[in-house]
Amino acid sequence: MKLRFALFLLIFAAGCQSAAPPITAAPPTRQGIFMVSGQDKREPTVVVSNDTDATLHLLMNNSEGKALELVVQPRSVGTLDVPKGHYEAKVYDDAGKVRSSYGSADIAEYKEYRAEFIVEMGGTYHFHIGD
Amino acid sequence: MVLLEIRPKPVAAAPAPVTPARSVTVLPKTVNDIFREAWEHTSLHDLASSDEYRFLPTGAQADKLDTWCRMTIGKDYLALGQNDRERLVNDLQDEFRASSQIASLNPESSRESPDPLASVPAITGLGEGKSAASSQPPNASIAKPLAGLPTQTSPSASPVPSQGGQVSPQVNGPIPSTNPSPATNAPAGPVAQNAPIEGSSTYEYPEQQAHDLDDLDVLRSLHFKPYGPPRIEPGGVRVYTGPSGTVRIR
Repeated sequence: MKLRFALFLLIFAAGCQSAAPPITAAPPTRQGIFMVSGQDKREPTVVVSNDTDATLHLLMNNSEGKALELVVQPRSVGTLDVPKGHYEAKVYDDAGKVRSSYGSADIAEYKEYRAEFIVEMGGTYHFHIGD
Repeated sequence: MVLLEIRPKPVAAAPAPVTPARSVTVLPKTVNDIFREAWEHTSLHDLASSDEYRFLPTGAQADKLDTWCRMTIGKDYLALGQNDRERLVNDLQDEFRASSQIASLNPESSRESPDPLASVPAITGLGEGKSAASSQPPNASIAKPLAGLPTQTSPSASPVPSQGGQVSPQVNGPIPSTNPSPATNAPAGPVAQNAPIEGSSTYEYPEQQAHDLDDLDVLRSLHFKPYGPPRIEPGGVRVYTGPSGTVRIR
């Protein structure tokens, strides 16, 4: 009996020690324009949902000035894997008909950053993206 | 027989003396420095001379320049403060506007669209927002929401505040076309004044140069066809009068 119990404990302990993936079930949290949620993949992912009739560009400059760009066609979703770090971000319309939005981003690993864009008249707003 | 040669043992080179690293202070680039560097880029001039840029409203032109700076000279540009970025963009815009007016013989090239900032829609995102009802035209697509959510503002962000957009919850709206077409911005006066005769030329014949001409055929070759028979003035000066003006030929 003791042997069985010990064996059970051993198996249970082994199960607990298995590499647990990052928590992905946690509800998304809002950070700036992004809804941030966990993901299994280590490299952060930026997802942009474009619900406008314009082609949108998400331009992200890292701390070294290198620019990453995500082009999202009208009524579609674009995905971009980005290294973690601090970014200066800009979202602009390809045709220049829509005023752009600006912000900064602190992108962390095991996170997905999802944003949805629409077009609205007027207004001035600055946003912060990320943690 | 094998000859043996005695050579001196090579001596390993003495390691260079380690000198303490000098502390070099790198001064940050000024707006003028970055302006000069940007001005050297051909792609910037390509952008500024393109119809895509020229026929945009003033605010949208600044936005294009900001995007170019971020993509091409991002490190230096983003190292600037918000006001300096705005100043750099404005300086570039002013320079291109001035050079365009000087260099162009075509009045259409110097057309300026009215400032459209108040009527240009903004890119908005799901999530945050503040009402912009005061600046919204009656038929604007208005996203409402999330008015109660806190607004996060980064002090280092938003280099061009006047270009900012509004973030608000998802409300699908059409993108009103607020970019005025070049045709609607054309100043009526100069264009009408320089209208080509019979639509064949945009060249306005300068009256002063008429002294070098002695044949009406030359005028006709320049598409000034509707000239009638000349009127002879004292001194034998032939005066041709046509829709685009008067030409005197001695």
